[in-house]
Amino acid sequence: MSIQHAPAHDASVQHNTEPKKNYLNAEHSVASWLLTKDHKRIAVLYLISITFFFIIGGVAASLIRAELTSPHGHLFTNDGYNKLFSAHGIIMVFFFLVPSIPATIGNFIIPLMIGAKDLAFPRLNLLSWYLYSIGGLIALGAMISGGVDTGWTFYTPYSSVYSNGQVVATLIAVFIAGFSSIATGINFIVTIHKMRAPGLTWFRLPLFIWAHYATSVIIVLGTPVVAITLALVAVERVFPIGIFNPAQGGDPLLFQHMFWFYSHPAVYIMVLPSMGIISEVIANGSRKRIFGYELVAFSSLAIAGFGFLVWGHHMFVTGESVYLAMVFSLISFLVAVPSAIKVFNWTATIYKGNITLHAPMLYALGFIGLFTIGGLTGLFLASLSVDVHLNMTYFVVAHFHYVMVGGAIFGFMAGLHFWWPKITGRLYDELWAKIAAAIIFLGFNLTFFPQFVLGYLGMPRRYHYYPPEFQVWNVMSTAGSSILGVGYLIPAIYFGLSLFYGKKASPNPWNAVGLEWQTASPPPTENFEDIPIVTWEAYDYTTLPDVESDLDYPSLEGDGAIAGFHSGGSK
Amino acid sequence: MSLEAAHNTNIAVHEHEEHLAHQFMNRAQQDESYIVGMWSFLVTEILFFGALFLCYSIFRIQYPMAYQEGHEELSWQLGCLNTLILLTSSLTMVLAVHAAQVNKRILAAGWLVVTCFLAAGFLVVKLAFEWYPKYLHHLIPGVHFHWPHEGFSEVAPGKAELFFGLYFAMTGLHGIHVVIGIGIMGVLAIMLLLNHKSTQYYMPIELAGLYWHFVDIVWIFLFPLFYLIGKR
Amino acid sequence: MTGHAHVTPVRVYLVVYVLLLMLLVATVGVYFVPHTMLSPAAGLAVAMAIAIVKAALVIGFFMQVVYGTKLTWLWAAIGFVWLSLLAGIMIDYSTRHMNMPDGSAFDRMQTQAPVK
Repeated sequence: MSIQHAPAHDASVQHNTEPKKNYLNAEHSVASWLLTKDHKRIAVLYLISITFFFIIGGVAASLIRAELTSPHGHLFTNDGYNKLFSAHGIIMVFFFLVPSIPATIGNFIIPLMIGAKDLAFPRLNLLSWYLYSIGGLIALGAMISGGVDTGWTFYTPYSSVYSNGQVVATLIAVFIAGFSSIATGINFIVTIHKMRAPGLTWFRLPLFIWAHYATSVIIVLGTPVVAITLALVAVERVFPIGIFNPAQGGDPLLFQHMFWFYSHPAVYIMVLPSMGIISEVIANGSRKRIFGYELVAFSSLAIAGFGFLVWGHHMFVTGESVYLAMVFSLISFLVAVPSAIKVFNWTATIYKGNITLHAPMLYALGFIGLFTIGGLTGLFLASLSVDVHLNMTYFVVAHFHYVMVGGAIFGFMAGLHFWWPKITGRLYDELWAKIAAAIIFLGFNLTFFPQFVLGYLGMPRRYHYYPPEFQVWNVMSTAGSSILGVGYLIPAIYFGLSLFYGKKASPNPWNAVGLEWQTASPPPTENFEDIPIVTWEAYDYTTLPDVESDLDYPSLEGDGAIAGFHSGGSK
Repeated sequence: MSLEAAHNTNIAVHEHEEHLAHQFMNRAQQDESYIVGMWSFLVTEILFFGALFLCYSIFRIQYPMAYQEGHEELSWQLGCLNTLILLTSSLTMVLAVHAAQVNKRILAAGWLVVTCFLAAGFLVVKLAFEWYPKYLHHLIPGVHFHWPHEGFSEVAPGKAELFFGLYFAMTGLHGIHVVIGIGIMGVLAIMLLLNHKSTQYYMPIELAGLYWHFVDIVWIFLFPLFYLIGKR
Repeated sequence: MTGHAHVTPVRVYLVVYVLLLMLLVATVGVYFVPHTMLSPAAGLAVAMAIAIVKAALVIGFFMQVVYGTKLTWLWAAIGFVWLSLLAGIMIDYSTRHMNMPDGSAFDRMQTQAPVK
């Protein structure tokens, strides 16, 4: 069986002889980056852009937390605070979370994982980055020149008739970013359908690919609806067409319906790619095939499907039909099933695995715990009667941050660490990475767990005055956010240093399976010397070739690990 | 080992085929990628317009009289003329695609130009004979909106404004798509006449055709929904 | 410019075009049927049925989906399927009045206690 992985041996041989032309040093001019059609370079451009927006959104978050330290709202005016949390939400949702994993890690890794030379439409991919950048700059401009105070949800008729901020500019920015996301989605769908290497059947695909396929389907089917909805709000600010204005006979609930038709599935746009990463990392960290591969693959599609049928649970208390609300509540409970399938299968994969606690694995374990908490508190909110008490409180804020930070960002960090050697060709400092992972985990929980309590006690979201009784929980939350902030700074430092001082990475530093590890690190512009032919299943860790790992970790089960590493080898 | 053989033939085909982008292995793969890519874009367009059709339906059920009286301001004759123009332009578009498929370059360019002219004719009817009179009658939503522009109506001005808002939003968005279509087809016609490398391959014209037929389909629904609202 | 494309005979296109024109005449004709013979709702249903047939002709033949691969069929259909999910919003409008004071279950639940 060792011949199955022949390409891996070839790649490592090529690595040792080092002709060393890769996508990073192929060309050096600014134009070669800004006009590149190489998915790897576009992914790097995206990585830089989303990091920029993450910093801005993060600064806004810190300011919100600073403001809430005191119950009297000393730092900002009411209006300023409204604009602040709107800016945080809009930037984090539309300009960080939605494109974060697909446009960076997905963009880089998908063609490598399926043995393709590029995405199906390289020019569309570049266009996507430009649309994203233009949208992002317009949003920033709008926020600097007055800001918006509508919250990221743009609820009508406040946003369409009454708000005085730069609502139209912000809506245009989100609209444009939506098209950038659609371009990425179309590209992934076609690429995954048509560009797979010979022999790479659907059920040999890594789960990362399944997750991105499901994500792309959501993007393509959901984004146009929110785009037209937001466009109608912008139009309504100029011409009183009244679709969302009750004064004219229009219906604000119609806006909420169409907004959440996208924006609920958008949660899955954020978290599904993250789940794909977790599958890769867990398999590598446990050195096992993912338990119940087919179930995990189909659960991605099930989440994408069910995710479109639950939007009404955001509107339980805003006046939608109670009978429809009952249906939405029921389906919201159902959507927990495929999510739980994933969690159980990852846990089962870890069970009796040869566990290596590398930094990506730490993030992955963090993901499982935090996503479970986020998901289960979602069930509280999906219960009609409990939601009456908890809606619009900090409980909701805590719940979706557990899903978006604990889910999406932990997955993003896991993936970034896991593929950093592939992307940059350098190894980062593993010790600092583990320390940072621990700090982020602690900081995150200290920030958001108190918010569950606050919400249960009844503190509403989006207010900066609150009764002094709540201060102690708010101070805990703010303290946690400072720790979280430090936790995010540390990776910025060691990743930055690794670019210059990091050890050179071998093609396969994690001793992982998957086509992306069979080409050089960083990969050549054309990805593979020859298009690989796949004859093995995904996560085939039992027949792993004997390739030296760059990172020699002590394993939790010493003997077993060594046996596992070398079982398929020819030493 | 048969895979190995298949792989080798792919490489061989790759080296010999023209008009093959570097990321594809062969023309069949490339062609289907383009078609599926275009269709998944059209899926976004279907949902984009579909959401508007949904708004239309919800308010039509709630305010039938506003739709009934509003639609009497529209001319079914002009709507019918425009439907005829767009259906014909769809025919000329498929003839352009057909000409490109059978390698008749100049004929393809000719049909594209005809399609462009028909599309422009649609816009002239739409803007000069439909939208402009609405402007004169103060039927554009805004401070100058005046309802009814003559006679007496039981329909509140706000609801009439809603009807005309939907009318302008939907036909306007459709009109934007027509303008984009004219741009695409015009550029393709010029490239064909110059025998540009990209249009030596029929696929760009086929994709433009898919887009243009979609624009036609939207109008097929807009016409009965706005111009032919049954009398009560 | 030789391609692997399915080349449909021009005759097919002309037949489809003539069918489309006939359907256009039909849809205008339905508009002029007096409402004593055809209720507005039925008239709308007929007009929509005609429009759907026209759209199907365009999609099937002009857009060549009938000759397309399974994948093309899938992506041509999925947009309309998802649009029907979005149309689930209509359920809200057909049941929301039951929330209202004119005799809804929800309302009774809310007010029965105070109404002695």
